[in-house]
Amino acid sequence: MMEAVRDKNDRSSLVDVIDRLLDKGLVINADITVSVAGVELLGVKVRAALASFATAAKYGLEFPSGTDYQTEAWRVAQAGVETCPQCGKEVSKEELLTECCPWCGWISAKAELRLKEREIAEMQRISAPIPPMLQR
Amino acid sequence: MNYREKSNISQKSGTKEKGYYIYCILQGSTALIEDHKGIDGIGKLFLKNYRNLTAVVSEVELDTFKAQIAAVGEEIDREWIEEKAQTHEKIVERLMKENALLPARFCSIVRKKEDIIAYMADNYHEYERALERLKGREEWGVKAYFSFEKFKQFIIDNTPEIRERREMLAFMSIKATFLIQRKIDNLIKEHMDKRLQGIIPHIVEILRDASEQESIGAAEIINQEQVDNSLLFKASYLVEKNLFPAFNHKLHKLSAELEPEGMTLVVSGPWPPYSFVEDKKNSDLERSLVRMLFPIRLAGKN
Repeated sequence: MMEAVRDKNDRSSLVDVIDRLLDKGLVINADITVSVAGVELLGVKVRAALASFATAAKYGLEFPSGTDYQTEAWRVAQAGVETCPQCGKEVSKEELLTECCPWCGWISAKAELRLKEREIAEMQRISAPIPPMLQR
Repeated sequence: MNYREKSNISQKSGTKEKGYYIYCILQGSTALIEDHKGIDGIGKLFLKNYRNLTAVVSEVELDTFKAQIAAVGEEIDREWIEEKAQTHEKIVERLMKENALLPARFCSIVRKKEDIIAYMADNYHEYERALERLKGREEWGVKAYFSFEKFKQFIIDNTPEIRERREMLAFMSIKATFLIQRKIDNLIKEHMDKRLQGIIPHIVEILRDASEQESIGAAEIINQEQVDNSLLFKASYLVEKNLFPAFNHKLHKLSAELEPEGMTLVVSGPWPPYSFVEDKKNSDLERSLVRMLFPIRLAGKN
């Protein structure tokens, strides 16, 4: 169901405040006009920093001392995603390599080999004739 | 080095250039600001009038703001931005309760008091019109978050074509299973895409009817479907105060309708009308009229 009207001390409310104040409102040609440009720069900088963390995590680069490795964001960055060569969507690397692309069904050579092995094993199981006494 | 340290340096070096931080522009020549402090916690709020407009301002030390702004290129001081943005917002919200107002953007500072008057004089008619348009109205924010897994399950459960194929899987060989599973995955994707394309126009249509104006934010393109709670839709609505119950009712109905599909609607407000201070529709119209009445003649042509 719909969530309640904002709690003013809520963290998400703070995001809303910043979102509005930095990006909207009456634009006054004030003397400190740099603030607007600065703020836009800030947003870009935050995004750039996040992107570089994910990339660094992917390649196993070292992070500054004091980095908290226990966070959810860190776990997600470590797990990694891979682009499906067929449909181009980003999917979990593990799923793409060992199973198939959940979107287009593309199968990696590794997964195909595994599937064939399973098929052979299955065939072997049912190839033995069933003794007549066990037949219905 | 944070802004407080930077500010201390400027104090030590004796440069204390003052400026005036503008919070909002009100209709009328009086407003109750009591004894409230401004954004820096030092300068008091005061009013500056021009005809029927009033700017709410406070004196600030320019160096503190300049130092912070200059620091943007070097480091991110989120703490400073958050603290100051909240203070700015609280001041405007308090005034919004009793006044029609135009909230100013964060960090609008002028050097001289006379500049505030000059600014209001230059834009007097535009501000008067905007204040009339916003009188008795409030801004409400609506966001729709999307749960990929829940949405996928909803599509599976409610598409007979997919359900039947899934039931068939139990009776098939592994090889055939694989092919049918691929077909099912493609069907799920197809139905999800189709439904997703319809959801946003549906939300827009319902809420448009219940509001006076809308400002739709850039919708997030979902390219990481596995991430739960991605923001699917973001918009602000201008709603007449006494019509808010009707708007809220529509939102609740919409929320109940979309919840089984994994959509969560979140409403926030009332906000000062940050998203509606500019009347884009009218300014575009005015611009077109000016162009029509005073066409630009190219040199050499009559």
